[in-house]
Amino acid sequence: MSGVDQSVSTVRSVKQRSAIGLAGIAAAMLLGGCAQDAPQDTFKPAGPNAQRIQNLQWPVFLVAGIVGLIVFATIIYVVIRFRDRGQEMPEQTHGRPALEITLTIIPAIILIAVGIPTVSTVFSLAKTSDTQCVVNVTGQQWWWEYEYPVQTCGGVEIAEPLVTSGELVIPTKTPVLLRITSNDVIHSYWIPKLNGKRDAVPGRIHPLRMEADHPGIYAGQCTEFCGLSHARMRMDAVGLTTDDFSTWVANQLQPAEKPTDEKALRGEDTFRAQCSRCHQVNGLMEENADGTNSEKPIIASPDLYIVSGNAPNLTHLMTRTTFAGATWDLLTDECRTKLHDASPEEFGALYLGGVTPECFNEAELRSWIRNAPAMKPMFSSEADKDLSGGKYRGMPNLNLTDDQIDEIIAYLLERK
Amino acid sequence: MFTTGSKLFLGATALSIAAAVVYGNAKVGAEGWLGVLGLLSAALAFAFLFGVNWYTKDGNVSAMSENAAAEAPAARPPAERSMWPALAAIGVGTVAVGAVSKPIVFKAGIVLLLAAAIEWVVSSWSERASADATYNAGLRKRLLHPIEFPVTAAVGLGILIYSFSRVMLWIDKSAGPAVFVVTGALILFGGFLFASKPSLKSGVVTGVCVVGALGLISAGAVMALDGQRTILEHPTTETDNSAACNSAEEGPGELAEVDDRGSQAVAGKASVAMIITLEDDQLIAHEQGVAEPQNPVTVSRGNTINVIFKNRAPEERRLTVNMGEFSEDINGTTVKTLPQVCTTLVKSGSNQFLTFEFAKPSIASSQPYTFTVPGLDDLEPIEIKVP
Repeated sequence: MSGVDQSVSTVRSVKQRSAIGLAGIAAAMLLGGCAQDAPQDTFKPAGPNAQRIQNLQWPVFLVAGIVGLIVFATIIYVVIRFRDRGQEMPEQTHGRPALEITLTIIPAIILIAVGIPTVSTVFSLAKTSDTQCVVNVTGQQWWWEYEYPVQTCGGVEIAEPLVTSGELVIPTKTPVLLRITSNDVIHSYWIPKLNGKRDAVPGRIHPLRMEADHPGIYAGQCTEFCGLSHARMRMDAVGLTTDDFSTWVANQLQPAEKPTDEKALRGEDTFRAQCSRCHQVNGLMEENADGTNSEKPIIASPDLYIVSGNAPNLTHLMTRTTFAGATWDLLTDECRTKLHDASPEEFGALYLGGVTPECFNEAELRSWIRNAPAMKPMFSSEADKDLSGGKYRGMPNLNLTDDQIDEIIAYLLERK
Repeated sequence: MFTTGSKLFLGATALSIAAAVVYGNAKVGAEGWLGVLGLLSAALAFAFLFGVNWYTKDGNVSAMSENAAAEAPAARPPAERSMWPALAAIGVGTVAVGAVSKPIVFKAGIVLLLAAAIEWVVSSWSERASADATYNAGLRKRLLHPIEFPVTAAVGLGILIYSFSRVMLWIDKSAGPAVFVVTGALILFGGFLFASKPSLKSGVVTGVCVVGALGLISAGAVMALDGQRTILEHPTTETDNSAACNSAEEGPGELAEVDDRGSQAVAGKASVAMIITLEDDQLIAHEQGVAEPQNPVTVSRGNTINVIFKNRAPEERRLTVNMGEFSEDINGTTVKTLPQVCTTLVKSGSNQFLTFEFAKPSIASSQPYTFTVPGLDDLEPIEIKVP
């Protein structure tokens, strides 16, 4: 084979491989849209707000698609039909008022047709006056906190404000108002199946409607790059029936009880010494000299150690199904699947049952307590603290012994 | 006679002496004498340079030879009179005055001096580039017009924009949009008129533009001298001043204008956590997004809280945030602290911004966190819950 033939063959080979590669990427993107197990699928609304977005996005997508097809087809036709074949330059004309006016009016009509339902949807999604429950949502690196003010939330009386993290629990068929803000940098709150996204900006309160049709867990993800572990800042919304929500609220308002198990009792001491500097456990009291509890509650001081000035309240950790920014499961795979696949009728009882010893995913929590920054990079080493003004950006490695970790896990397992 | 260079330094000497006289009369005392001394030193230096330039005829050897000057084309006198020596002298004088008065004057002098120097150098060079005066003039234009035109346009536009901004800052806030719309409409109308009448003489167009520009600059100058309107009541926060935060009057040591943390939280002004209104002897809290007034209100721990206080009472009032009561055992003695933050006194009908933060939950305090208004003891406080 001559040198020229060889180079022609090489060019063909490169072109063929490029075409195959591009076709592969296109096929992967197309088939990716067919995924069944996609918990953050925005095209599967599970509440009226997400349904409104769905009702808007399909016709708009259809119109945009048709316009796009017409434009591309026209361009391709013109490029091929009138390509340079050495022909004479055609007569040059300027100005076809009728055609120009038509080509201006048609897009204007399309834009108006798309604009009216879009504006209407924007206004209906921004409405807050009909909400029946308020939750303050605060983003911080890299987890979400939820506070329920004193109110009647969807018919359930909340006599004292309660606080939780990771999982937003809401009564189903109830319009809920989220008041979203941030403690440190800009985050963005998005539960695709329940509504669009809303930025969480320090110093600002951004309202967002949220409503779930049926009991279940709806996954979400922070959608504003917020630092090193942005990808590990997830969130779940949990829909419960009004009765189940009432049960959940009543439980959340209870202070932590004194552990009964001996190992958990030792865990309480370890927690008091190591963890309570940042993590609040309501009902955890200072200890008297004789080992009994005093009347003085332990108040965590995350403001002294953490950039955001806050750390998750762990009073009822085991009523949640995830930890560390909803990134790792407290449930084993089997129990998690059972909960997520539960029918709406079964879901409430399963969720309120919390994390049982049989369903407890101990391995991941153990790894977390042993060395949290190894699982979720947080600039939390002593050497990097200067970058954060002497404070951590998350949970540091406390260098606990295996015994201490065992005891803390035993203590936490009773936080229900 | 006097050469071009010697004229510059003679002017600078005269200006420095004049500046020393003016400055000496304006300032009295040691500080004044120091300035006069500086200016006279500058005058002495300029006088010396004047002498050197005059004696050496600007160091131009060929110019010192009568025959050579008569014969050489490059040594011919310039085609036009030059204003750059005079401007350079003013620049030097301005630098000298600025050195003993204000930095801005000094900087303006430097700019003027640099501009005059560049123009002078290029002009001098181009005037002697050849024996053809037309060619020389074209050479100068080619070099300097790309700089002169944009700079002149930028400075001119800057003056117009600055003048317009002075006008907008002087007129009443409510009239601002109307003035803006009318001005824009007039400019649009004028532009349309000029474009639709191509036969219009350029002198008329220039005249209208010049009159308009002069009118705007004059109005801007007058309004700048008169001073801008009072724009906003600045957000003010009093911290750690219990005397002020508990008083219905202006408290001891109270700062009239703090403009500290509140004004820094610009973003919060558009989307505050709540609006607290004092009206009809009631304190009412409207939380962002919540339809009904709330009492108690719940706020996040460790989060910056921005609120707006609206005083609709007939007299001046302030809003105080009582941030609990904390006890600390110091050497066997219990020390109590009652942290507070508050607005300064807010005029009737005015609003003020307040920023604060709770580091501890409500259960850490022996007293509830509350919003109160000093001097209104019967007023029901708004309780703040921090879970």
